[in-house]
Amino acid sequence: MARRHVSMIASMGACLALAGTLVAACIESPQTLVAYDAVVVPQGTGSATLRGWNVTLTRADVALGPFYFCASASGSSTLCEQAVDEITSVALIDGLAFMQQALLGRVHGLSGSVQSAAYDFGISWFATQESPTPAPNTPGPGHSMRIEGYAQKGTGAFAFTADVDVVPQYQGQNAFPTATAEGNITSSFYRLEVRFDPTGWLKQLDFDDMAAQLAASGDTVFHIEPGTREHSAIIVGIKNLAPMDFVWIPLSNP
Amino acid sequence: MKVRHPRHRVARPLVAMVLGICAALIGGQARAQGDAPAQITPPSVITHVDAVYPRAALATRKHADVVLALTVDIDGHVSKVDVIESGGKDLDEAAIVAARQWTFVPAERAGKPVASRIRVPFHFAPPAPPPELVPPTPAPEPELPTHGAVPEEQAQQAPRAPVAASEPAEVQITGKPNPPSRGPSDFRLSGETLAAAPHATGADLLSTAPGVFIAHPEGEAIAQRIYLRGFDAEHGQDVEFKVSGIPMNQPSHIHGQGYADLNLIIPETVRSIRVVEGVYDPRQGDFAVAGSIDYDLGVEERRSRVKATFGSFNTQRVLGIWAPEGEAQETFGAAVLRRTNGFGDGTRGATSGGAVGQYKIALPSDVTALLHIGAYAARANLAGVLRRDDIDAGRVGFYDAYSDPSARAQSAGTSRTQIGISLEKKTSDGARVEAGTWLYIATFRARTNFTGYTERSVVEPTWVGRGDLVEQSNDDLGIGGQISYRSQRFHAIENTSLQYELGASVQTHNIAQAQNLLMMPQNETWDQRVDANVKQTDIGTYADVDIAATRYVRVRGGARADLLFFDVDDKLGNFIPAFSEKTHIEGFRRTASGIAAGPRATVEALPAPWLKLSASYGEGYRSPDARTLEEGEQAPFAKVRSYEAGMTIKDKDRMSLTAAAYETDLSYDLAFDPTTARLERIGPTTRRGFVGYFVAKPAPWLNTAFSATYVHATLDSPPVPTPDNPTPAFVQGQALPYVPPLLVRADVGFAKKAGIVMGKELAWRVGYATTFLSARPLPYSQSSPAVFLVDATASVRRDFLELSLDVLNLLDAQYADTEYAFVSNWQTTPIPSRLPARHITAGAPRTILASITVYL
Repeated sequence: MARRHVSMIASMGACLALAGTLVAACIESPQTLVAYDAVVVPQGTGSATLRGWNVTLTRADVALGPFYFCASASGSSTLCEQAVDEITSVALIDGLAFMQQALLGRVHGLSGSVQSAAYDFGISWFATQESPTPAPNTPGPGHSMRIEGYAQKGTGAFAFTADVDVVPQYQGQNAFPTATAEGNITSSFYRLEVRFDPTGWLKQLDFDDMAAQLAASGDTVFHIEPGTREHSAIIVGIKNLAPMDFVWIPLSNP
Repeated sequence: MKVRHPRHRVARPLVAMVLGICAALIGGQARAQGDAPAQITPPSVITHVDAVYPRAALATRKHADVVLALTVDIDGHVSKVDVIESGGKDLDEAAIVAARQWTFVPAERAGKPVASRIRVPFHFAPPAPPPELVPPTPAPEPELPTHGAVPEEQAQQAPRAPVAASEPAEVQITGKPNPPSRGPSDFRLSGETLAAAPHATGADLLSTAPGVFIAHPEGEAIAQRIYLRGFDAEHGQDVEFKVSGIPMNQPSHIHGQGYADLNLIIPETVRSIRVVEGVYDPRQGDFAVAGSIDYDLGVEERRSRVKATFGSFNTQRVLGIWAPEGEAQETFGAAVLRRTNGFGDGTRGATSGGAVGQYKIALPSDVTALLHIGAYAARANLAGVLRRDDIDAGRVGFYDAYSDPSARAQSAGTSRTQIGISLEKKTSDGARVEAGTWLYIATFRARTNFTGYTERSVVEPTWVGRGDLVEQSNDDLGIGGQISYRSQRFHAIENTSLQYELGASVQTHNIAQAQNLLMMPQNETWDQRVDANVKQTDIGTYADVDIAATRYVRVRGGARADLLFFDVDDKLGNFIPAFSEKTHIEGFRRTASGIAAGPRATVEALPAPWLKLSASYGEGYRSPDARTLEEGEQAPFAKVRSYEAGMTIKDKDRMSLTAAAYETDLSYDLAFDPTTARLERIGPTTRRGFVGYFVAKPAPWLNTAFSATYVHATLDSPPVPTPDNPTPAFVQGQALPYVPPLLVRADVGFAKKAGIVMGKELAWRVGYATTFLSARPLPYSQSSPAVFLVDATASVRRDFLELSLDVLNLLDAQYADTEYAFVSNWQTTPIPSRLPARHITAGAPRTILASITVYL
């Protein structure tokens, strides 16, 4: 009788172990890790009519990154301490390469809904940094972007350059603390397109005034530098008049 | 029809059941406590004979208890038998006939044999009906083998009597009553089982229990982290802990609700542990969500000793135990000092010490008192967490700590001093009154940094990036007590009986707590998060009945209700940030209260003496953290509902198998939030699974225990989204993080006598334990790898000298003691990530400890 009990017990133990092993394989994964490429898609032609001036850009080197995509509607540092997806690199891209989609970086993160973005233009002020610090590969170096071009109105024309610094306002905050970005990422089969029109960033520039200043100074090229009124006008253009668009393009499974 | 030592027979033609008195006495589980000055060693049983249910009584088929007083002469024979409690003439006679055949090692006083008088209970139950002519009696309490714990029916006491040289010395058979079983998951871990494998701490003893895994992610000065049957109970939020009847959980603790530091327990003084997985006993109070754990302290071998241990990482430990002969096992004193450099790169050094003393004395009027005092203090440096990606990239070593000053400043210091006294009185009719009171003072100060540099000051919002070194302090003065009355067993109708118990418990706490952020290396405070005083009172009452409905069916259960009162002085309530206009005075004082009540019941069926079927249901609760309550709020207790069904197959003391399926529903769960270093609410959770527990002692020299616990733990609904957390990490139906779905544990111990060496007996002992944790789910679809650990021990003893070698993590597995997923910034990459990343605290590598013990 004892032998029978032992046999029964051993069988039950084996069943327990087997069942446990089988069921243990089932662990739900409500969110999945994703990784996909982000590319830059410059918009426009590099030329635009702004305040009666025909403006043509000949150079637009832009440092972009890092990017943090957030689930909250606001991507500020207090509301987006945790990102859904992110690009933790800074890329120097040609804003006039309309025919190619330059790789901005690899997006890493989780599946889920994105409602906002926070990002920098190569100059960051992380919580552990005492002051805004440019990435090594920024144009200049040390600036967020280098823009060159010329403006023409009637018979008048002048060339201009701009070294633009898009600097975070507070320590621990991104230069662009919150921007609209809507997407629902369900897998890694996506491509993020970052679209912008660099000529749109110049919408706030007063080219008439710039031409007058240039005539008064006798210079041939108008240089826009940080701290000037023109620099502030470009910042307004970047942040308010022509912000970037973020479009998630689903890809078919390979 | 009498049987001697029938331990290897499953079914035997007995009609009387002596409830384990043989094992208790032979195993030394019940030790006599003599008059201290007389130094009397109680008699121990050599041969016992079961009583035979008299044929003359078969007609009435009655259940009855007979209590005899035996006088054991100096030759170890029973010279006189008196009936103290009669069960009727026939049954009395049967008991006397059996008892007169018992033989003993006589009691001793000052090393010389003396006559003694002991009290022995017999329980008679009628035989089961045909087909067997005289089938075995269903065992009322077919418990797992216990060691050092005496079934309640054995814990009888005889009145003390003056000891004269010419008169028998009357000694008391004492021992902690073994509470009635509450189902298959009411596990009793015996000393033998616990001793099979090495255990570094008192908390680590729990690893032997089914479904329990113990981790020490925060060093020696912060409470262990416990996983129990699908619950990540953190530092005790879901498990009610008691040590010698004194509650260990600290309510509203700053580091985690129900914080219970078991470092006070000296493992060598643990006699047995009762682990109830589920909420089925009305005695279970606050924090008994996953279950409850009671440590029974006692020193079985009545010899004082000194033990010195040396080993890996410059670990040194000295232990002294005072355990005088002639005293009860509960009477002992123990003190320990320990220091270690800890593993890794020097960031885990610790110094600790503790002392525990108990004294059991007999008072007039058949009252027994147990005095308890315990203290523990420790300070330890902490290595903290490491990001997996940093380890994988070689930026930091697995066992190291970040070189950052904030990471290197992590430490903890704690102390706890507790005293308690419990009184017990048994009345002549078998009823029992118990009362006890206790008091403790516990301090806690910890500096931990889980997230690196992500925090922003609330006081001065422009202050940021100064290091997330969270300083927590918690000073708790707790006082409480309990009283209970357990009636005699009433036998109103044939084959039925009833016993009830009424009890009440109270405890009140005065807590001062604070939480700040510190900047290193200046040790400057750069943010204040908590500054509060909490007064909390818990008044609980319960009723419990034990009904033998028929010979085969037994019902146990009752109800419990607790009133909790909270008084919070939140000095940072209505906080005014630096940039805001001051419109009021900061502070928010509030009171709240609530009542938690629920039933608990267990139904047992005993179709055969070797088989017990059980089904249990119970409702328990966990009190809320006081600071989370609003003014006048009905305290939102976390309500737990436990269901269980299972069976126990038992072949006497040789083998036992328990299998059970269970479900536990919790109204809201808590999970560790590394940004606050505290527990935060998630949502309702459900756990379903099954457990198997196999204990066997196939030979006197072999002791084994094996358990496998599977749990499917899920979150029933996600937490409420908030503006700053619109998509919480936890979503409906996901596996609960940090909980291993499958936990398998085996403990095997061999102990044998090797013969006589130079005139003294040589004994050796080896043992090992294996622990397997399946992959643990983490938040954000991540999971930690499975863990397999082996611990081993070996010792040899001759007379007063014992040498032992313990090896923890024998295979030197590199594993994560705990693993988390959250956002951190340890400045190991130029651009910080804001994605939740995996973080680990390293489990200890292979640790070798050599000990020498000198018995005095």
